Amino acid sequence: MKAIIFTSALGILAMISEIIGLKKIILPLLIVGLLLTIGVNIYTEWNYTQVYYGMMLADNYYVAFSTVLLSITVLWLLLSSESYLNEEYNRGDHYALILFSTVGGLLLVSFNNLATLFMGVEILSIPLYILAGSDKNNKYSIEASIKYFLLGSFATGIMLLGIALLYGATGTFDLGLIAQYNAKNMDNTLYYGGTLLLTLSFAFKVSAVPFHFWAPDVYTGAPTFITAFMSAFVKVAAFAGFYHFIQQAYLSIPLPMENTIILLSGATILVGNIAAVYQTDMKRILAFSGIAQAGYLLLLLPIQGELGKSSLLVYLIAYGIANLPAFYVLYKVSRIGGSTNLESFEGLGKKQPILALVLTLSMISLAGLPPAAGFFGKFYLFTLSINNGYLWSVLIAVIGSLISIYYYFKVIIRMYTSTESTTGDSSLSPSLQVYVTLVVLLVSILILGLFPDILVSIGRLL
Amino acid sequence: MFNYLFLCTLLFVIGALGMMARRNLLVMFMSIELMLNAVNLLLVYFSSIHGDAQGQVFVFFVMAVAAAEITIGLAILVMIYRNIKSIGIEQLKNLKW
Amino acid sequence: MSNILFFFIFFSVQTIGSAVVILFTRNVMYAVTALLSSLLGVAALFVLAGADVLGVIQIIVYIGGVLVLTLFGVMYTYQSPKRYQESIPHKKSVFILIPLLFVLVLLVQALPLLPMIDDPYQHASKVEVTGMLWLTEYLPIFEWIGFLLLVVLIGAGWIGSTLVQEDKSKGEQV
Repeated sequence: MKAIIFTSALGILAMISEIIGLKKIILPLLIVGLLLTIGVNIYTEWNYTQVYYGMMLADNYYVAFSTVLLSITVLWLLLSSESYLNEEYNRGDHYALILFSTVGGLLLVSFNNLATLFMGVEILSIPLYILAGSDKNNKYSIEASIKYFLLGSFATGIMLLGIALLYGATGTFDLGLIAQYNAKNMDNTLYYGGTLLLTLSFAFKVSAVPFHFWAPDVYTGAPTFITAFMSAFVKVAAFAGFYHFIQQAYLSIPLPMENTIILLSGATILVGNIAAVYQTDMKRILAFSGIAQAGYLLLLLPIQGELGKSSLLVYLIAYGIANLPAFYVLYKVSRIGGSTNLESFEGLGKKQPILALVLTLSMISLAGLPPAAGFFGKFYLFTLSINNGYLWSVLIAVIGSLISIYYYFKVIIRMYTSTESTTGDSSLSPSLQVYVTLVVLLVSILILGLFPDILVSIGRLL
Repeated sequence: MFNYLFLCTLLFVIGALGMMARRNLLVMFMSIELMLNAVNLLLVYFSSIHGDAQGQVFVFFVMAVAAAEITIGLAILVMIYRNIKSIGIEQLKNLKW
Repeated sequence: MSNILFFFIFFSVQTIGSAVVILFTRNVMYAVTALLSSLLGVAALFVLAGADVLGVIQIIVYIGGVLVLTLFGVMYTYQSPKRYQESIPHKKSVFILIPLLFVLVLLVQALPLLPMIDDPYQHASKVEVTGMLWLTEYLPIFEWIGFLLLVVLIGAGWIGSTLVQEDKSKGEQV
């Protein structure tokens, strides 16, 4: 609760920063404020489960995932500082909308009532509809904005119908009472209909396969840093919220829902990976890679208990810290080369070895190969799914991972093989704070890849 | 004859069809409104048969959010109209669907 | 036929009929008028289902707010049909089948289960309980609604403003 209040207050501060003359120092203020929020949040709420008004459940799960979400926002603010320092227009509004979206994400990992879930989804999405179109004269950007808005509203409609049917079956919006209903009364069409529709609307938010078609377009059209935020923050928030919903609303997950999720997972893995192979645009590759990662994560959702939670935590952190730097490098390259095509990456290894190293490591982590954090994310996920009996799905996931190695390494090979001999290009080099952030990200990818026990031991406590 | 569930599902489906089949942005916004209205009616109906007021409270929130959403939609529409001088989204196909 | 059943059928037909008009008309002005009629029908159905206060709110919020906004959108973007003719695609039959299937499944299985509301005023009015819930248990949601409206205020104002960046080259994809 404190985290939500502080983040909202910081958002309002960012909004009025231009009026009260804090425009120059707003970024450091926000970063310090968010770090303080993370500290206060962990210090006061860890191991101190509390329910606010029956609307919010602040348990360890909430503390862990709100820390992850706030950290992603801090890292995003640091990395994006270059782009927004160049263009002085409306910086305060950008930051305010990002922080408001963060508040939505925090609500999404702590809801204890379907009304809170609905508000969380809306507060998370509405700022992003606007931010996707924030490049107001760019026809790609406005197209991404309207597509995201229309499909997002449609998904909201589906989610509301699901909530209404669940209410019709159970007579309550409270997740605890819905779980009790689930325990004693299992055969009701309204109940299953509501469950199914809610699952589908979540599948839309995490871009699982029958509802994935918006993701590549929106990701390509939106400004690169907004895409980074959508890809890292929104996916983590949506998955944490989805898992939270399944955990809280079902004592044992109903079989139709389990089957639906596993089916969606298989389709998502195959379609995401195979479509990514044919892309030549780096943004689209990352978009389809995000779809494929959503497929792996879906395997985790029906698994209840602390193992599932810790595995989700490891995977989502690995995904978030690998995705952000990749988008940063993409932004840098497109800024110089003028396009996000794979050709722009040729010779990056010579021109700017640091950026190339960053991209290499994040690609390795996304592919799930040993020295990086992504390896253990996938390792825990696959072993847990096999223990749960999803043998065929894990087989599909392994095949998908093998396919994914091809397109991730296509990028890496492009960077290090170049016919032309270019020397270092200083216009690409990052500023100091970004440099430090990149180093922190790289070190944490390696540390989590070498010593995964740190996160797993935290995950046991959720 | 006298069934709210049938009525609401029909209204929702008409709204969903409008979203899928129409290409005029304003009509698509109206279809969103129809979908949300169908859900509202369903919530009120369930609230009535359960004898529980929570459904009605929820309807109020849905209304507020729907108003917010349509405002954002119209702001985006104004931005689009300024750029392409049209409100048909079939003219927006620079990105592959 | 009881009076209440007559009103239910009347307003149902009004709501659904107007919705169908929205679905098929090519004239946006007709569509807005049909939306007005449909929303009024829904307001009446709210009252018939025993939610009189929501009926009033529906008229204030939707017809006084949303509909006027939409009307503004229509006036702002109006073009003569000669300039812009909407093309309605016909290959979407697959998408149309999915919701129809959904309706069928829902109807076949759920229809016999549900009771009807034969008299909306058989229960005591829920206005008082509703008001209590709004200001006690659902107070956080109220605050978040306010927060969301703040977000929308900033966002809509910012995206609709004409302050444009001059230094950006048009249409370049970055």
